[in-house]
Amino acid sequence: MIQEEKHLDIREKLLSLPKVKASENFESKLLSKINLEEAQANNNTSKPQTLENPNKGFFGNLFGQKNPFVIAGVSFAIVAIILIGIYFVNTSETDLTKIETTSIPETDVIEELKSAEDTKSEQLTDAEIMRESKEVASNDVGNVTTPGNRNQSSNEFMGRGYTDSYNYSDSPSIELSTPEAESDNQRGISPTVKPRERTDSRTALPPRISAMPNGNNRVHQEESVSSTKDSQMKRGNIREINVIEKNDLENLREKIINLDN
Amino acid sequence: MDSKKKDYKSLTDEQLIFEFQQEDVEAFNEIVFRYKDRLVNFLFRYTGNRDDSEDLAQDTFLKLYRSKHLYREIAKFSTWFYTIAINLAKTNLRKKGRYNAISISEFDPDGEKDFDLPAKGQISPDDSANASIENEFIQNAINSLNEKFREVIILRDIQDLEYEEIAQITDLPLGTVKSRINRGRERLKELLSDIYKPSN
Repeated sequence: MIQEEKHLDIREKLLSLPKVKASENFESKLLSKINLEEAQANNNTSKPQTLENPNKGFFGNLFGQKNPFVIAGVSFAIVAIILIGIYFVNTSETDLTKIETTSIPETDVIEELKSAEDTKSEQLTDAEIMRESKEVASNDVGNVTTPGNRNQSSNEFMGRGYTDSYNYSDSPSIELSTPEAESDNQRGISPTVKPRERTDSRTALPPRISAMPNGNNRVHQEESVSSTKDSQMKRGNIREINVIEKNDLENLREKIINLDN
Repeated sequence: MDSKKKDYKSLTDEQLIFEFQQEDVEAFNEIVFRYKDRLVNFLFRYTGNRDDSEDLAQDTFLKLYRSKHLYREIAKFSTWFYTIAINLAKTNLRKKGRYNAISISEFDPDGEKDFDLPAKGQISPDDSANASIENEFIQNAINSLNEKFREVIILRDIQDLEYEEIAQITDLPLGTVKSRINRGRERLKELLSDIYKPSN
């Protein structure tokens, strides 16, 4: 209040200044400005509706807006989905080809197995089976199994329709001819089993076999059969057929022995 | 129909803007009728140009027309309306580059250099019968004030607003407003000392 009184003359002068009034056409000018503003607002709202579709283009119409980030993102996602789809299609195709390539030998083996069983059933009569089993039993009774006999029996099997040229000389044999083995055998220690390289039955030297206890011989025969089984499994399915058949024969032989006893 | 017609002249400014917010254009017309002269006078004293003041007043009403929904009844309508007007005026002055050209005192912030008024012998209030010339000198003196003094002097001594209202419009503390008004008056007195002899 003191400040106002101090400069009261200036305040009075300023308050006494004539008041400037608006022009007579002030309101009309204001009205025209308002109308122009509203018209521009209407144009702004109507223009996008009329010019929206021509300016949008394909992506604009597709995505409904012109945001380039959205368009780029969606495009990238589509490309990624397509690539992933192509990848999965290719991987599934390769799996199918693998299945086909692996299934072909199995079917062949099955067919071969069936044909082998048929030929066996046709050619092996019961009497022959009995004779074979008796031979095996006589070998067991004699406690000696010579490779020659086995070769002979296998050759007989081959002559009756077996297609495999397998012979027992491939299997690990028992070397009992060494003094250490004989002494071990006398002391009741089982002999060592050494695998022998595969040789032709005609060129292979017959192993020197000495007498050994019946139980030990059977054990080693079983070991040799199992080891030959493993080696045959690696050679293919066709040889596995022979192993199975020989196992059957072994089982049959054991049954006959039991019957004889 | 006439009986239902509202008597807008009896409504306060706040009631009018409330009616206008309800899309009552007649309320807007009443606001224009009430404020057009006051606004043009304020803007003329602030800008020193008649055409600019008219254009700015119309722009202010146009902004009110567009932004009526922004008003909240936390302040007087006149305060809010003057705030719009002074902001538009400042923007206009900056756009035209007249902000620095008009303000002579800006080059002399300490007040050591006086505004170049006509010499005593050439024009004297006693000799001048034309009040418009006197008003022109006063207006030139106002225009020569620094902007921070000019706006508060106009709001207080020309528009006759209260200190609190000026503080709200300028968004300044009340003490700052009073101080600036005091310093602005002193500066005006110095500028007009050649025309008016100080009254003791």
